[in-house]
Amino acid sequence: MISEVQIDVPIEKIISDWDFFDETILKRFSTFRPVGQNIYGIRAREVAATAIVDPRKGKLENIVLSRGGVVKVDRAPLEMVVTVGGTPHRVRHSFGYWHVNDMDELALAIPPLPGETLGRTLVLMQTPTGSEGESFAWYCNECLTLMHEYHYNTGRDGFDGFWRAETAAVEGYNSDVRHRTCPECGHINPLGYCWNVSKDKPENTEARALW
Amino acid sequence: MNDDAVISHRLAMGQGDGWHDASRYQIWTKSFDAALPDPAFFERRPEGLIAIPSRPRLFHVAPAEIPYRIKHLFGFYRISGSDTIFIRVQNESSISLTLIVGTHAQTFGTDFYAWFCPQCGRELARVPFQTKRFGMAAYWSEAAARVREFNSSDARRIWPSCTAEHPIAYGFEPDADTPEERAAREAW
Repeated sequence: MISEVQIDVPIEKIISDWDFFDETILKRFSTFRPVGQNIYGIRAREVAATAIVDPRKGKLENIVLSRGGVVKVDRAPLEMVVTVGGTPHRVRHSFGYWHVNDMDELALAIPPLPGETLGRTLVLMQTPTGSEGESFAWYCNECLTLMHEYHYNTGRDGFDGFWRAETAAVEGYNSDVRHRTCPECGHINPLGYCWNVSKDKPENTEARALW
Repeated sequence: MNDDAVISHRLAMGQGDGWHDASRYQIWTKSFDAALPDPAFFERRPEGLIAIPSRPRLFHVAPAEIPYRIKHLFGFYRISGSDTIFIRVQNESSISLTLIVGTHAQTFGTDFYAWFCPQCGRELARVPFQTKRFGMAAYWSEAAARVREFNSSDARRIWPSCTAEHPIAYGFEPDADTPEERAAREAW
């Protein structure tokens, strides 16, 4: 057997995060963490054949906004789903706005290993640079007219400011009922809410249950 | 807003053989019999050659410019200006490997096929390929020709001060292997 000479040093001394799925470093990716050219969100989740379950939010239901309307995106374990940049998308009951990212996003769920109860879910997106960024947007829940948008220039201002931008976007949208009132059909949308449930006020919790 | 046809791409891990265009991600995924020799992931870091442990569930990122290869899968090191994500999921009978490469980085353009002395680690050869221009699939299919050029040159296979001979290299597509390349694929 031919072999190449390897260094005789524990891998952790050379590469601290050599396995992002590792239990001990998973928490570093519990929100989103930029590493090199991509941004990673990795979580321990219940991954069953027909559902991915967030312990605090329940069964996750992904939807995208297409030219034909709202489309449910079924997720299956071990299936990679790439949402192309520019496509409005959201996860019902998880974040109360449409995320419109200039960058592509890849989602994947991996079932638990034998003896484990939780698998892994991954959201991967390209690190924006220059004028690339993302929007928090709200469309009329009845006729899909764009009603309100808050843009964050992630490439210029950095991913560190993303969660502050999200809070500002949601608070701004909720601050005036006119933002939630459709100029076309008059429908009034429920309030928006942030991804992190700990930011919820009672009215946000109520909205999270609604949509 | 995009058309329905291009708003998303779906790909099952381990199913399919070849590179898939998923917007600005390029994805390759394939399943292997778990009884076959382990397709381990190797990187050449400044400190030296290191094997990434083959866990049943592994998510590893090879940063841009770090040479890497997968044992028994391709017999050269790939060097790229783009990060490469390596995902391994194993069950009792099979191992699925997935490679994900973003084409969005400004440093993504020219990739390289490279070989290093197995003894002292010195670089023996580095051959460029314009991946951004010709595509990711072309980089991997072109490997067979570059491998044969390397194999045909004894001078390139031996580092003068070390004298260790580099084994025969092999490409990315086993079906295109010569008998010597097939033997090399099984060996290293």
